[in-house]
Amino acid sequence: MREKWLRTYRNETPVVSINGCEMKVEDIVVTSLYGGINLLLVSERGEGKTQILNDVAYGIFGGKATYIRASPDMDVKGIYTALNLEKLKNKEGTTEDIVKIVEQAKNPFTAIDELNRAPPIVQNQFLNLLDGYIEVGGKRYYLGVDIGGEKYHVGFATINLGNHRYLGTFDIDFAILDRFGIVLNLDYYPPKVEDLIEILFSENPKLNIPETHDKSEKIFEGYKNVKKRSLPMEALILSLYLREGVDYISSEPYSQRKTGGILPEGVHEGGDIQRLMRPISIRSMKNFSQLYKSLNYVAELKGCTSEEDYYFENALEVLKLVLPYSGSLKKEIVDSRYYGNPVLAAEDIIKELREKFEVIKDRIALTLQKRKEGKLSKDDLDYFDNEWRFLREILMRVEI
Amino acid sequence: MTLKLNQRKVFGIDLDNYKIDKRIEERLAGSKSEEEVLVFGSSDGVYYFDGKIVKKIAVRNGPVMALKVFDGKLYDAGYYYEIYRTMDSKVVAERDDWTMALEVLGGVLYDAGLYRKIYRTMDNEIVAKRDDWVMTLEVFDGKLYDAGNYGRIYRTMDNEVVVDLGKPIFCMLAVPRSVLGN
Repeated sequence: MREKWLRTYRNETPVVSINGCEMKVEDIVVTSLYGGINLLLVSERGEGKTQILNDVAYGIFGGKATYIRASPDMDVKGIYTALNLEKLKNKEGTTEDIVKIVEQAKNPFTAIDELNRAPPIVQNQFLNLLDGYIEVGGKRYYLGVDIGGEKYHVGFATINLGNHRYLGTFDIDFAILDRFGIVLNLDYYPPKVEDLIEILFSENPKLNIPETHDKSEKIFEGYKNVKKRSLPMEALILSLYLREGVDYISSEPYSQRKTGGILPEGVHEGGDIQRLMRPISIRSMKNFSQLYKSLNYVAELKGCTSEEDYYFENALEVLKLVLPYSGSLKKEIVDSRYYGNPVLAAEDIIKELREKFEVIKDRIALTLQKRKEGKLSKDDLDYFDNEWRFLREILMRVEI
Repeated sequence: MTLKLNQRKVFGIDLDNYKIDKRIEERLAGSKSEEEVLVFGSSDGVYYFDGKIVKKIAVRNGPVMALKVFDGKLYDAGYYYEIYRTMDSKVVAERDDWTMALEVLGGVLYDAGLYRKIYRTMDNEIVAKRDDWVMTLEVFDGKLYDAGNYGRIYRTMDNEVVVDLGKPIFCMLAVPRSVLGN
């Protein structure tokens, strides 16, 4: 029987498929823990987001967690209070107090509930928390647990949508969104009827604080394992395409970065990827890489072994989680063509990527084969031009 | 920095046993004519293939069933209610049903379809009406012909029935007799 990580939350709806294996909300949560990737949970009110926070804080980290519930009247002091850093901030207390307080900042997990309800100045402090540190009196204190010479800390946050008005995720400050390697809109992955029945017949229909279990060590071991993994060629090429290939536009100045994402008239008019998105950020590339490795790790733990035939499809599946909230999609197009739903826009981009790579993959394979046989010529590399030009750099550097 | 490739397969292709298909090789060699690209319609839009890559050039709400170059510009129509100048997606005509065929004769663009009529596209002038769906238009011997579910081939402009097959006709192509051999 597979391991149950979230002790109360129920949702069997698949989110992505890795190594041919359905990955559900619980798997995505575990993926973010193994990957050390911050997770933002978004949905209408009452869809189980806070339950997930509790399940992770108590059922996985044994209560070694910091919980912050944001509110409109919250001030920065409120964060220090939540972290028990107040004395430190006020330069009060003995050395012993300070040691004790700093000790408390060693929780590996921080949960920020209803993040978007806090005023902007407090949200800025959240950015630091999500980056794994807090500034007190101009000094930086790193959060998390020491594991083999580095700190492990992961942050989860929730955002409610709705309240009789549409609050799109585009309305969330991009600096905040950028801190989350995974943004999961649970409204797109609602629990199945079987889950709902189970939820309705559960002993406690209210918010549940699960029995305390400490699986931290297992998470830390997994984290180290994920870090050691390498990215397959398909995933590397795909992530570089999203940065370098997407940057290419077919007329001067030949770069979306230089035009701020605006396309010159007559260029990419027909619904190309370049029309839908800007190049992804370096942070998104890193997120993609870490998420790829962590998702594979979790899939393997579920018994779905990694095979080379899956690599490209896996990479496209990872994009389903990365692209919608990467900040790279063009808001005006998402609004006008996809009802403001970035997940639908990402699906179209992924479809187009699959088609593009279907055409170029034979050429890549041929070039790699020539490289292997020592027959690679300048002409072979020159073939990769325009949006594929970045492939020259990769193919030149490959050692087989 | 070097990249160590620890895979035998890339994109599902086994590098140890990769024998390039002749057709793929021709495709990868690139189009012989740099000027020409192959435009095609699919269920969601118009694409082109330049011998190297496929690119989508227009998004449509339904299958694209007809493509034609007219006055140096590409036009498309299909299972939607508009006829588009493809590259800028400008609607040049609207119909009350789906369009199945576009044809050019004498510097004029014609369209026909499930609306059982043949139109001069740009000024929406009806040049002929039929009692069932028009599926195809073709220029033959300097004249426009139409055919469709009605099982006949008409010389469009004078409504003369030139073929009465008695079963639907879906496509027509005027070719040199030599193409048919002896």
